[in-house]
Amino acid sequence: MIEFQDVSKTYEGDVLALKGVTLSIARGEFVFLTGPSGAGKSSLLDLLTRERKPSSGYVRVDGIDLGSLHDSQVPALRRRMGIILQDFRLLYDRSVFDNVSFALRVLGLPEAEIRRDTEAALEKVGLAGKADLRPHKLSGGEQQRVAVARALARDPEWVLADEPTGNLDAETSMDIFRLLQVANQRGATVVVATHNQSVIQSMGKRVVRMRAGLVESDAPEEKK
Amino acid sequence: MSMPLRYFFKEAWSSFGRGGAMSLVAVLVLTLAALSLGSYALLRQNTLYWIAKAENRFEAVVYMKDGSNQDAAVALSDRLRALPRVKDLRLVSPAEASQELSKDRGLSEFVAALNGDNPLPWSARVRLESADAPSLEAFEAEAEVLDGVDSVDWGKDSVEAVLKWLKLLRSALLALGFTLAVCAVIVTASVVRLTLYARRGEISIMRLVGAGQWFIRIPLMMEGALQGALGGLLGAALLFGAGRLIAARAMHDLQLDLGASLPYGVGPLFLLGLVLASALLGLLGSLLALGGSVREPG
Repeated sequence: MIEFQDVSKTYEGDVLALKGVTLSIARGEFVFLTGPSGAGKSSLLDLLTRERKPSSGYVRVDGIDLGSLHDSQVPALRRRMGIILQDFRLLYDRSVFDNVSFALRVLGLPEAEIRRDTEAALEKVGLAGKADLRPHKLSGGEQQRVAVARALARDPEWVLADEPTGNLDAETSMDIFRLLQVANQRGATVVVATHNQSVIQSMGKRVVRMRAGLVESDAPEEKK
Repeated sequence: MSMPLRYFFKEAWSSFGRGGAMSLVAVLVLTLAALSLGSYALLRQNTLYWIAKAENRFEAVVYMKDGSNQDAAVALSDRLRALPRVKDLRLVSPAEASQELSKDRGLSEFVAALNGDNPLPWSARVRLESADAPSLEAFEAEAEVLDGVDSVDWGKDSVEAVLKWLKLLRSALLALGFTLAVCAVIVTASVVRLTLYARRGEISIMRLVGAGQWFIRIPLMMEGALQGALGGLLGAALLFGAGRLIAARAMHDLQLDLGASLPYGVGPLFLLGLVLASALLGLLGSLLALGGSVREPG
């Protein structure tokens, strides 16, 4: 269960990004966060990944108060998450295989298990034949699929994606969302911040619309 | 979470290769640091060798009363030897003293003018365990009260002045060593901080996937140690080459055997010491530079 209770976030220079947001997301849900730029979608996700702390209010994930979570406990929290960002965040001087296996390596798994799970994750995103390539040899869509494979390789409890298809064409975007849907069907809670209205409409999931740091509406989208 | 040592070694090694120009700069800075520290170590060892040699030259001369015969001189020398702090003693007969004086250019004419008469007394040249002024002064006080002793001379003023300078030289060497070590750590930390700045994207990705602080730090620290060891090796090679070159020039131009005058050079033990010290320097520099760079932002 993810809970935001009267959460505000102010950045340097008194920039108010979130204004008393209250929201809860049940385990296993698939939720879209949408709204114009500066609405507070990324700030909300930053609080969930504990990249930032709330200025006031509470953010709880499975009862853990992220605002008072000690820095040393953050890596353990992130190891339960799969995080996907618009700019892919890949290690460009390492192979596709190494990028994905790194997420498993930090779990301290045995080498054989790391190899098996990495190969399985790359197979799932359709990149099994490109494991030895460097990411810059891949297209934007393929690079994002590497990021998705990295996020999903360890079967995370929560998948958090911030504009995962922001730079991709419509067809590739649908591929990425299908992968997120599969993760959701396997039990992961998925929260995706996106501008992509056609994907939102085609998937018929819960949509939280935000504007100027506030939740404007929160309702399931009718599938079209 | 277990710490996969093999992965850390592999990661440190590949990351060193991937670092390109930044790794090269770090190794060059560490080479310069190793060169400075190595030169200092050689300077210190050879200077301390010469200080010890100079200190060992200080001795006290105990003059015996006029008319003392050989038996009395030997008996008195035994009593002097029994005094505390005495390291060794050489008994000098009037004939030996005269012979020594005649070798001295300034005094040879005076000895010749005596026409075979020898007014010189029996004397004992005494070296102490510790050649400092208080020890020599204490020995003087203990020796001059012995029966048969005329006077004790240890060149109080000049010995005190020289010993003061040698003490100052030791302190200067210590201060120089400390300053060099601090500078080397600061410079290394600054260069490593630059390399980390270039890799801040990589560190943020590691944090994103849940890598803990030490999981990120250990390979970077190992990389620092690796760069340090390589810098130490290069520094030692440069010192060895420079030493050989200077020794060859000194022999060719001045017929001076530097190897005999300066016994400490770049040997296997020195090489090992410099490589280990530089590796430690790289490790410390990385640790300092890493500081808060892998911590979570607020």
